[in-house]
Amino acid sequence: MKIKQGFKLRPLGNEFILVGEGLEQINFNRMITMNETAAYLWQRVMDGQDFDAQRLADYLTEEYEVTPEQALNDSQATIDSWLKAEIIM
Amino acid sequence: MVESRNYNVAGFGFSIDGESDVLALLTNYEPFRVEQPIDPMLFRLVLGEVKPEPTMEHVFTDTSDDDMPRIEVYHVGRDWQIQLAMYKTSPICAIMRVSEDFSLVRLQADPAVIKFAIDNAAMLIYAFSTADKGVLEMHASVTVKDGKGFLFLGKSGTGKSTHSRLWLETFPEAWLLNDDNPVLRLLPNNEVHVYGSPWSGKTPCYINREVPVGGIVKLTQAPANAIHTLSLPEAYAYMLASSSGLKIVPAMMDALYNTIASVIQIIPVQGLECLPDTDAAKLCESTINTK
Repeated sequence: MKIKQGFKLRPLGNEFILVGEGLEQINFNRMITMNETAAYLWQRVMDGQDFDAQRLADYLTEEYEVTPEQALNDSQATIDSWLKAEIIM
Repeated sequence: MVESRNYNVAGFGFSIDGESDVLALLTNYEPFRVEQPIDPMLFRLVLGEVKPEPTMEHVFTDTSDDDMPRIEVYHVGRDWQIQLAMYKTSPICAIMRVSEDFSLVRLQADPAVIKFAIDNAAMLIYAFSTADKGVLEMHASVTVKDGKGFLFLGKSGTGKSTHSRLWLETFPEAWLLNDDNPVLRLLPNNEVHVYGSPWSGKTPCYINREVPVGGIVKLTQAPANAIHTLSLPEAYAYMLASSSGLKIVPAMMDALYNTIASVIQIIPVQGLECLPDTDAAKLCESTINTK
């Protein structure tokens, strides 16, 4: 997986929003809300690196008190929701 | 005869230079006219020829709304060229050459549409050059009641002006500040104020006044009246869609984000689903004023 280009993550109150601001996403007229954990994962992969659920799970266990199994489950769920939102490919 | 006129809109100055007979058309700017340039001075808009430039790099074309002018943005070296058409599919009728920092604008327009060209050029450059100063040039109708301004937002045709008119009918002391393009400012003390402007859409309402914001309401047409506070992401999306700016320029987008994110946490944005009736105005006013 890779993130699509042209998105910007912005803090808003206690949450984060992901907005299409670059020319690549000029017609992206939705807004994705992210909690702190999802925003952390997005920031880790925002350099355009290739990632999969295992890579995200590693990032989660680096930062949060979470079992590897739980981290992998959460990462898979995150990837599923990002795919559905069409912000990664 | 060429002359230069100075204006003060929401505490920011600009000037328009042109032939006297053309400037005489700008009656909507008269309430904002000042004798001397004020500080800060945003830009100087000069009417005159724009020399063709063979190498322009297309940046962006705004055709977001069928009824709104089409705006084409190009780079000419580090400067900008901005071209305007009356509607989405009509031919270009005005060309602006703008310095990188938006402080100097040359505008050449078809004489038949010179007023349209000046208004749109001034509105655009005003928005671009104030974005980093806590300013939002909004697409909204604003009614003042009890000394506070209430902004009604919504897409073209949702009834922003109608809702303002309903407030004027319902509350005898209410008055219209601006019907299309007011200026919102986040002040250094974190107060949010709204100002009249020389741009008010189809309603000639050019009032040089400033009031604190009492409420911001996003309107949607509906079969029944209902109101609720929008979530921050919803409020952000509607405020951004209602604010002018060159959103593909990262620094300008950062500035708009900073202002909007602050404003919506100071003034919670309401979502009003409404009929075009006085009950909608009463519901809206009583809900905001009891919060």
